[in-house]
Amino acid sequence: MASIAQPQIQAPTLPKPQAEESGLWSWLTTVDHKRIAKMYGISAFLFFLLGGLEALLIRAQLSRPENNVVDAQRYSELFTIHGTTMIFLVVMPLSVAFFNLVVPLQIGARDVAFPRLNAFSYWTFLAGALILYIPVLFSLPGIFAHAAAVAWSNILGSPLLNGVQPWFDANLPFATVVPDQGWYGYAPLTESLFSGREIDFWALSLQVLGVASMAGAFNFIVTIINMRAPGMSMMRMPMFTWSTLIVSILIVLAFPAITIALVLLTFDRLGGTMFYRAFSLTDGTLVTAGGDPMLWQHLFWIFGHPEVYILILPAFGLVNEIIPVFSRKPLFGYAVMVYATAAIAFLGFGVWVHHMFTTGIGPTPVAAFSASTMLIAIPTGVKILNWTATMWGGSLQFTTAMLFAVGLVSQFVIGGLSGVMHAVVPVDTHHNDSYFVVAHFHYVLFGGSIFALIGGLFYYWPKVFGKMLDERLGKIQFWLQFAGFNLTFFPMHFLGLAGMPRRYSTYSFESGWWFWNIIASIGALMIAASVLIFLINVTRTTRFGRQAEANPWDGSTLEWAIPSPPPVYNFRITPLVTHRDQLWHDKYDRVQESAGRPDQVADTIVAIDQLPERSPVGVAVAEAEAEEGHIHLPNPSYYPLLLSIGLFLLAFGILVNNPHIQLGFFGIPIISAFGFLLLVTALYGWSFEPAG
Amino acid sequence: MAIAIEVETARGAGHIDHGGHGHSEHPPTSTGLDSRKMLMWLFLASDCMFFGTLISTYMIYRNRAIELGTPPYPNEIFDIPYTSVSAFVLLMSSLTMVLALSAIQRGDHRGLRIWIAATALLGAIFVGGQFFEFTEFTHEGLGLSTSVFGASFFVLTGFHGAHVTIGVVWLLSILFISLRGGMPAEKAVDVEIAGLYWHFVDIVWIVIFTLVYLIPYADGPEGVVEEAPHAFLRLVTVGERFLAALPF
Amino acid sequence: MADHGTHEHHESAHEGAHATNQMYVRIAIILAIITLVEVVIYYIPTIRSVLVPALIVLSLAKFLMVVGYFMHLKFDSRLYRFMFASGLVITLGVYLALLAMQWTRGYWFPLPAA
Ligand code: HEM
Ligand SMILES: [Cu+2]
Repeated sequence: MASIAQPQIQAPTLPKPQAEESGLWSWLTTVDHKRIAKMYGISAFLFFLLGGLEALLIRAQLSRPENNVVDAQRYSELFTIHGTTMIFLVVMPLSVAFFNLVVPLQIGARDVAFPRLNAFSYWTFLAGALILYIPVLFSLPGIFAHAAAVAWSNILGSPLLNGVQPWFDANLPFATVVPDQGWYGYAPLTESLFSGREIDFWALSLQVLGVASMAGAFNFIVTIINMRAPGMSMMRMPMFTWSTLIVSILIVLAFPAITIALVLLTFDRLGGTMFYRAFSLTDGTLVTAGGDPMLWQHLFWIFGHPEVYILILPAFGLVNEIIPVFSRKPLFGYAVMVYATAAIAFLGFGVWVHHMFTTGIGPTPVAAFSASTMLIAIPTGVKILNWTATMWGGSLQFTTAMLFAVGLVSQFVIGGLSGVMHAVVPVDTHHNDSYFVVAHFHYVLFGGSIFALIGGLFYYWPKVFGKMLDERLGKIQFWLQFAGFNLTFFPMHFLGLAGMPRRYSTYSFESGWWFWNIIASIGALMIAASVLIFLINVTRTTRFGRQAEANPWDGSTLEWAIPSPPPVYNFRITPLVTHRDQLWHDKYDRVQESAGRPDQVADTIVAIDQLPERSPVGVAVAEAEAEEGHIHLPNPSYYPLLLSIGLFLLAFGILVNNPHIQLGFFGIPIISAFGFLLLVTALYGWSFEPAG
Repeated sequence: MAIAIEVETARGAGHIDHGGHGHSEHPPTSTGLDSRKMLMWLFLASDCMFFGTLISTYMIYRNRAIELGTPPYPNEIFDIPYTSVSAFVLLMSSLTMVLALSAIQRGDHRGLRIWIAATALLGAIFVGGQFFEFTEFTHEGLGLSTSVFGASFFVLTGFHGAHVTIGVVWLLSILFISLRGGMPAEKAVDVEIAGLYWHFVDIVWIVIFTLVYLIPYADGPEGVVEEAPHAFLRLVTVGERFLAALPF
Repeated sequence: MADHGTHEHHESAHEGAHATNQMYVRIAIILAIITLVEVVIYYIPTIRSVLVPALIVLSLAKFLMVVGYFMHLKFDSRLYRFMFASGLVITLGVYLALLAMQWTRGYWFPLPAA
């Protein structure tokens, strides 16, 4: 055991680092994890609003039988884009925003291990999102025009506006290339025989988004393993950091499967291969092509099931932070929680066939994967138990964040139970492709992920922006959202069991499904209202919000030891970690422990900065920095942005390719060639960029 | 508990990567391991999954040309002696790579340059060989859209070839930096990381060579397999052709 | 995951002590010989029945030698071993299961081939 730093070491007086830069250029070139977190968060929230708009259109269409708010084609586009948006452009990036914000602070680091890679991750995410959304944005006017035309002719009996939507479709670029095949893009629907350019947009967008996710995930694994403050052993890490680590491992192992699956799909569509094509049409006759649509389903769900854990584990991580703080108790069963998370991640790779029970895959796979799916519910149940036990006997404070966290616990139980019901194969045969499945995944994704992420926004808002969100509006939002959510999605269980299939644009009156459908649509409006309240809350808070202290919730992890909002350099002096709930230990335990002792230790760990801890190494680094005259931070860089632009152009060039914009030889799209050049240049510039 | 604070773990808060080639002093990380090397290992773990997906796709479709009767068939088209030489070339490039690393770790810059150049050359020979193989196959009628066997073969080996190509460019960059005097012994880890990538590409080829080329196809290659002496004769010819193609 | 905290990787990463150039050359020779053996047994009709297992064992040996010695994994940090192994194990597990399912399912082609 090394010796403890001598008490007489003086806290070095650090020169104040230059004021944080502002202006557009500083944002474009930033590598600061907190700014990247904000950009991720804001983008994800904008997509949340767009995805919500699409959901409202879906619910409007289904609100009564044989409705015509949107036509069947538009309806397919809407549910495809809604699903893809919510999964890839909302829940994932919002989780990544929290990773970026929280992880470096929780482990006591100045930034992530590879700050530029982090910036690259964000810009690439934006590039992928744009590829998907360029067609969507151009198709929205047509959708609204159609709705207006229908309303006009229903109310006034005149077909005046009927020509508007076709006009938009014909004249707006990209308006007709909105993907319409569903978020899991089953072959052979995605083959060129049955679809058009829209699938290329979808496929390339997901590939680019995959690059972004993987870049971020690699970075977080290295950061968490290598950048922890002294004394923070793995088993002293806060649970959110653990969740980030495990989710990142899932990302780097799951995304390759879909990336290759999409590459093969792109080859099928643009390169003439037949990976997913069982039959093709040659001279008007069907012939065996040799490919197998089942391969797509396998590869997609080999990614897809780990993906659902990528979506839920960050939310669990947030709940792991929120519940103990507002129960005024350390998390019950920390180690078990860690192992349960790891077990879920590991088992998550062994259950994918439960999405394929009804494909006729055969009794052995069905039995094996049914068993593994039931198995995975066990570690999930363990978590529920731990949260309940954490709250048990605690002095509960129902702040908005806590309400949302407890909301997750209750709603996720419902979703988890319907998941276990799907695991029972005879039952799933009835559920499959019905609204029952829609109910299941909304209970886990909305009642689970989104609830916790919104709770996380309330919990971390003061840390990021230095202002407290209004608690009264927050509680109104919660109850409205909670009620609206259950009103929308609980009836879908009934609808599914009554036989209502998913993805049909309408239904007949005789089916009897209209009652629960109108209820669900009313619930959707309530959810919309709750989101509106949140927006009002944010605006009000920005204007008049109460200033937040460093630790407004009396949290126990390191991020609460520094001011709100945190300075650019996070910690002036790298903290020394001695306990899992460090701040609680410092505040509550040490007083008792050091009472009556000739305690050098209590002297050693005197408050230097905001933080009541310091470490020999941290002090040494700080002294060195004081000598140099500044705190050492990574330099801003524009190469990440350039690299992402290159990637965007590379993909976009393929999408808008036509004979007029090709290079003379090989028919290479000019835009792609330019993108590739930019990419290579940026890569070299990046690797030779001088030190920060 | 408060007395016995464990400070033995104090290894600094980790270092931030400030860019490829500026700083040489690396503050210690929590594990004492180099962050960029760790990044490479993680990437390789993930790359296992990339290649796993492609290899499985191939394994699912490898017999389909034969089953459906859509020639050319794998057991006719593969030239085992030729590919054995390629496999050997790539294998030996792993040796030269590791020698390059060991040279720079000893501060032997000349050694580094020679061995890196050799590795890049061997890699380039491999890629060139693959290019010839692909053109041969195309002449014999195997294309991307001939059969799913052909498609999965080209996509798998092409993806691997792209990896090798990137590796060659990377090695040449290192050679260039070293020639400009920018690769001191303290930066041996830069070479080591490139080496990890390079060896990984080699082990993937070890797997591909076995699963794609050597393991027999559906109807068994009995009828098609060359007589052993004949094959060895051809192996010698292939070797001679390679030697003749070298620029010295 | 390495849950014993941060102090268990002290003696990581100094492979120079474990591997020398002679050893690298020796390994390369063994690798070359194994490759030769693989190609030779491919041409011997009498051992056809054990060809596949033999090839798999031989290439596995090559694989492990390159990873262990050339990539230094044998001497390097346990953490690297854990990382690479988890990628490998998940890949193998997932794709062996996939192949088992696809191979036993057979393929149905009632129409003439393209
Ligand atoms: C207790 C754990 C869970 C079990 C046992 C489970 C089981 C299942 C099963 C068997 C299906 C297939 C139903 C069918 O299509 O017939 C399914 C669908 C689905 N699950 Fe879960 N699940 C669980 C948790 C989750 C979580 C945590 C998420 C996401 C956060 C999730 C998201 C989904 C989605 C999105 C689908 C539908 C995919 C689609 O068809 O579009 N599930 N689940
Ligand atoms: Cu699943």
